Amino acid sequence: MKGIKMKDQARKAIKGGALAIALSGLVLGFGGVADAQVYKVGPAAEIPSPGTYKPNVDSGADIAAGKGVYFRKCVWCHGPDGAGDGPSAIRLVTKPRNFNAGTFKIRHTGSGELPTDEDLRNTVRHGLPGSVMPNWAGILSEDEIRQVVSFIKKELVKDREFDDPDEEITVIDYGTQIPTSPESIEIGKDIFFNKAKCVECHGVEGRGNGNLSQRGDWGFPIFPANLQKPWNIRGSRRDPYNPRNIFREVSTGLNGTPMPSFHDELSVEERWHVANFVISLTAVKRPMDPGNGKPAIGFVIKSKFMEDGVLPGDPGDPKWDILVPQYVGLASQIIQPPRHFIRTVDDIRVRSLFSAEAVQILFEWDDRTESHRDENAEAKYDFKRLASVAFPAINTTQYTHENDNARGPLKDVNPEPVGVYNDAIAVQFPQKWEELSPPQKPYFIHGDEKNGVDIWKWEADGTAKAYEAHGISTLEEREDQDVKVVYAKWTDGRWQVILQRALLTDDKEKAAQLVAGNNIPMTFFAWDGDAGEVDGRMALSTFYYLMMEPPIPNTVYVVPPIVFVVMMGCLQWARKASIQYRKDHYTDGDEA
Amino acid sequence: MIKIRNKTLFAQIMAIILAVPMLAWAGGGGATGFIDAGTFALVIEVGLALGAIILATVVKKMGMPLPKLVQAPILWAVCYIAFRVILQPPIPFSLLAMYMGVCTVCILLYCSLTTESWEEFSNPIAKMLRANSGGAKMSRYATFVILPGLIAFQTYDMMLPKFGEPIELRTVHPAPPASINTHKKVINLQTAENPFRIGDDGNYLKVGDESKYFGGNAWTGDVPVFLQKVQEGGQVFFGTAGCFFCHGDNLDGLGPFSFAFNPIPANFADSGTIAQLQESFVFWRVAKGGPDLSREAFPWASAMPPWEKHLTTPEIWKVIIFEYWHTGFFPRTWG
Repeated sequence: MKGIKMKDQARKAIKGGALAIALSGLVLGFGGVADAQVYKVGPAAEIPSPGTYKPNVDSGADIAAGKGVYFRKCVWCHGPDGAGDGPSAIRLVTKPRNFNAGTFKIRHTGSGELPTDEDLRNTVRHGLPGSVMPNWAGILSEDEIRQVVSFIKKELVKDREFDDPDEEITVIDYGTQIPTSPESIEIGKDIFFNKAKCVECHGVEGRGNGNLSQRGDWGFPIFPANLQKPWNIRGSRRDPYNPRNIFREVSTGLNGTPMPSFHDELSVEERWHVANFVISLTAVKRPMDPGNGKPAIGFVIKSKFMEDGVLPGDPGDPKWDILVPQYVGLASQIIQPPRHFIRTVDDIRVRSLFSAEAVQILFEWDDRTESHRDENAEAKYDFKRLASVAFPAINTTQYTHENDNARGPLKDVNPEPVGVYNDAIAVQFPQKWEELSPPQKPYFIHGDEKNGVDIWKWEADGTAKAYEAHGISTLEEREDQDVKVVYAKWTDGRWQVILQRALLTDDKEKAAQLVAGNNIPMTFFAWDGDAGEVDGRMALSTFYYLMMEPPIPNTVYVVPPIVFVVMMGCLQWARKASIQYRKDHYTDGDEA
Repeated sequence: MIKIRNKTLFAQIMAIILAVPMLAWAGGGGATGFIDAGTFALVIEVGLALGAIILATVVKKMGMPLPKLVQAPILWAVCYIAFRVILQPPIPFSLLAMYMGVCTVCILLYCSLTTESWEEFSNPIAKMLRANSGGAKMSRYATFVILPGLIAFQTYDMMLPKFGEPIELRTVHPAPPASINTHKKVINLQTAENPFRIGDDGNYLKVGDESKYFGGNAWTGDVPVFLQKVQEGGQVFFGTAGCFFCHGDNLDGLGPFSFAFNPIPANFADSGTIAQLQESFVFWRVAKGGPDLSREAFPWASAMPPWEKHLTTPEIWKVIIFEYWHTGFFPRTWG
């Protein structure tokens, strides 16, 4: 009787254990959901049905309510008359849209036609990535989005009427989507290079480094999209790896820009092949940050140990392939004079390898032009060329009260860039970082009076120099020049630069000593010489950490098996003890 | 006897009332993206814990009481989830370990309250260790492999060097100084008032009274003086200073440069920033920027410029008016 009861209990115990394991599995599973990587970071886009489109008739109530929304949220960039001349316009390079002419880039409609209501609402919802137009979904309600679109259509588009019967609006047909495949990508590539000649503007690698001397209808210079950064493509709808967005832009063209419609030149199938090819150009499909819609950033730059002690000589070396290039976001240096609002390098991809003696850092960044210092050269991207009839005073980006104790009117205190400067890249480490008690660091822009920094800067003239700095205007070339350029080359809109330095150097005061196994604070800087960037006029990051990962000690593989055997021994001992106990206290023999 | 039954029934009904809507809400929310993944996991976990309690009581009612050996780990798991997930803000691991230690002792006490209950608890273990029946053998072999395996794996995981970001706790709103000197004037941060809080009558507008201007149009010809200042502040935010590059067109800290910065720019649209601060505190932050922060707020990493170098004192006060108007928040007052 007792035996049966115990057997029953043992069965229940096993079932209970299984239940517990299943439950914890579920819990872990849901924990995994919380960390899931996302590639699409916005609500679904509205898709109008193909064919002739009749715009909605906007009610007076909607227009009035939309006006309220507009003057709270939109007026600051688009201006009180919708002419794209709000207070922010002077500082921006992709200007806020001037609605007056009714020219809209991102649409589902034929070339030159007005957009559908769905298109305008999508633009408000998702924003225009790569410009400063943010995604308003979640900030404005769906009603408010509908209302503000009504207001813009009726009151701010002045040269055309949405309800004019002569306005023909035809929505494109997506047909049947062709899923991506090596064959499709190959056909798309042929169309990109030969039939549609996309390559002429977008460049051989799609980095937008083709024709750089074009202007849009509004008079501003316009540069072809960099197709390798799909999260910056205006019509990407916060869904950057979706070929539907590329299909749509190829089909409709972008009104007011040199991007034509290929609706009549390419068949539906051909347009899908091109879209698949364009999406395939992005080598690393990066998870997105749901907040800002850019690739998610990891702040620890991982450096891997080369056991053979040999560091690679060029970026093509397969040794680099063990690392995924890490995305480092850059902003303009708008903090200290000379303030700079229009940086063109918005990210660097970084990899690093090290040996027992030295460390290499591979920087890769997109720059449409290869620039070397030339006072007489005409810059493609300088402040003068960014001007237009509408904004003659574009170089008010330089205007500031600074150095004037904030008295009197705004004035231009920064010297105007002359000609073309060197493209450049730099990385900065705190001097004697090991003596600063964490999280203390020097000020991220070239250090401060108390805590200095060690800067390694490469310039397009082929030099790599080590600097010491205690603030933005105090850079001094150091005597011990120990940074080496291993590789530096610009190809098809991208720089690849490898810098190398010994881990430990002679000057322990001024040069940062690099020790594996530590999070060493680091900051990145970049200069686009064609955009007038030099010295403090630059792109920068805040702090990252360089982590040179020490080789894994062998004990990691030895201790766990020992633990396993010892644990098993313990259990075996418990079993023996239990049997002995039963023998000593019961006389009815072994259990069943 | 009846009393106890009623209690059980009551507990069951309560658990069902709590668990079912929770699971339904989380399921619906998770599927439509209505709630974020973290909340989703939390609610599901709580729902599952309650579900386990329902299961236990239902099984008990059906005349198959759960053995103590199953009850104990379920109790333990419920405690763990309660301390780890439900208790907010999250407690540090050392504290969690201490709480769970106490729970373990309590559960063991509960299991060993009487000789019978201890036997009920320990017999299956003893059985697993020494019995020769097929089931016992199976569970013995499984235990002897899985348990040491798990512990060995955990040892491996602990010994494997980790290269994560260092954890650095930053104080977002450090204590302000008593006064600051900007543009050759001393500003007492305890008493300073925004000179542009002006009502229609030209007098100082008490905090709270500006709500009538929220959502108003500052761009028409004849606007009240307060909205005029809002508009001028907006010109500073979007034009002269270019605050939106970091703090965003909606003041939500998601401007076009925000992705490059760590720490990220402040989100004024969140009720935890300017809504918790005095206007004079905001003035200090704008005028002196990152470099004037105290050590615990990481002055070396903040990309906030000291705006006194680029803006006049009135411009700073106006941009503050604009920030409160745009977000619809009121500054904190001590009156």
